[in-house]
Amino acid sequence: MRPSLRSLTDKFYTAFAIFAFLILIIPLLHIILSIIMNGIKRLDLELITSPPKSLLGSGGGILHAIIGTAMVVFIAMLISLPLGFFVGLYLAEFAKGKFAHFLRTLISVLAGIPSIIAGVFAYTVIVVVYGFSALAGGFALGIIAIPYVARSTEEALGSVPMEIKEAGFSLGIERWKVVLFIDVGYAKSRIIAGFLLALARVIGETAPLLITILGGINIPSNIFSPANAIPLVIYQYALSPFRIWHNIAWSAALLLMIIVLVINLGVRYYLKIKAIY
Amino acid sequence: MVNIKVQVEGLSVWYRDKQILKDIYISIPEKKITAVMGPSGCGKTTFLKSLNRLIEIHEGFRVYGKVLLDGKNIYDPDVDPMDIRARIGMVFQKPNPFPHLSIYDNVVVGLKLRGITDKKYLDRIVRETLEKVGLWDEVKDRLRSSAAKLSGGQQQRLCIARALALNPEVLLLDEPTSALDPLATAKIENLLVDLKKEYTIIIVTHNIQQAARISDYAAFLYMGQLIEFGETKDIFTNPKNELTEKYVEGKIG
Repeated sequence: MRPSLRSLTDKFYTAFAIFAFLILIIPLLHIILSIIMNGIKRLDLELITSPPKSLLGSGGGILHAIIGTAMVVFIAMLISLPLGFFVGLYLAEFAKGKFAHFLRTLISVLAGIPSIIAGVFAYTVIVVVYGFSALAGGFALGIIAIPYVARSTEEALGSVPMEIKEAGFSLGIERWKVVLFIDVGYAKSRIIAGFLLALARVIGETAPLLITILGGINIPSNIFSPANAIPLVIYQYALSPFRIWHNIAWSAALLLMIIVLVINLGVRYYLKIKAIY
Repeated sequence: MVNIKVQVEGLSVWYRDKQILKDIYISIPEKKITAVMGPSGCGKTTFLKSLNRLIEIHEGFRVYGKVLLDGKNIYDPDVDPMDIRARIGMVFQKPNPFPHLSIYDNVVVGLKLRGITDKKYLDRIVRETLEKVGLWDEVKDRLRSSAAKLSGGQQQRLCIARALALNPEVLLLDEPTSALDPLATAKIENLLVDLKKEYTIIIVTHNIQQAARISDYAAFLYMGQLIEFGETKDIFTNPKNELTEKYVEGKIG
């Protein structure tokens, strides 16, 4: 029997889909494999325990950048968690009609602006006053994280079944208490997962840090001093003419990739345990 | 002569432009079990939720008429719906304990969120209510573990305990056994017969046998209208309305 036109079309589209998938996956695999192969050499204890050394010797690490990233991300979370959480809570439980629509659009716009804009904003608001600092970088990343936290919180609260809310109300509990103690409690693990994914989202941001924390080789002594960060070190070292720095940049990239991977896998595992109950 | 606990006068409920309940008059006697029967979609659940103003948390519903609790209209503007819901407890179709809370906290969450923190009092309430619903011996060693780990029947009894912890006067149950196996169902039915010594019980069911087994009074709701209401034995042996007769014989589903 001759293959029908329909089965030919079917084969064509299947082949096309596989082709498109390969186009997508090959560069991605290439990037991942290059990072692993080039980065594994210097992914050692010295990398994460020592600050940079002079250019003449080999070795040296990125401890200053790891501490800087920790500070910047911590500040970013301090800003974006409460703000994003309450915006998401408001959207999920209280906002209705046109204002809610407006707010949701605003959140989408905020999520869509280039991250450098957040950096410029942090520059004008904080750098101009306090100078280049971890605080300014954290502020910029915080702004970037807010819409992600807000959205994930809204989605998590939206997943609370009506029966659970009804059970809360049927106990004669006021609305805000039902929302805060019943709904949030019920959706707790998904909300936390959203926080962590927002963290993973901003930890690799580079552009806004360029103009806020400055970089450099010193370990920041407090949030008002200039700092470096892992993605920024990658950028600076990769553009340098030195082989030693190139190797450190590869290893820093691998380290960052591992951090993000661990966060993502951790979230999945965490939600899986929670889902059993 | 029995006391009337809940008196419904001319209750009509609309959902957007659809009338769900049509001018219902009914007098629910105190410390008896009143069964509300009727086919799916006849308005049973809406009726139940109108009795503790839970209907008001849903958008699009409008309630007309009066629901008198001990002679006082619960829809009067000076009445706080939170107080009504504490006085009129509710148990739902699907067991819905709070899965993120422990067994202990499920029982007292209502009290805690209403500002009661006295640990001794809470401990006592937990023990008393769990004993009342026959769950104490099964869970006393794991009060701190998650309520989600209990079986369906245990969860439903926990939900009854949760409602009882607020010391309500009336207990509303919306098809509380429809998700349970026969054994768990029997336990709940025995429990309800026990509980009517202290509480006025209104149970919605589409299980005719269940209504016959446990209720003292029975109401038949059909397409939003109260067709017949009376003592259960009369409803089942000597129905006045043809529709009621068909329903209790299982001819309307």
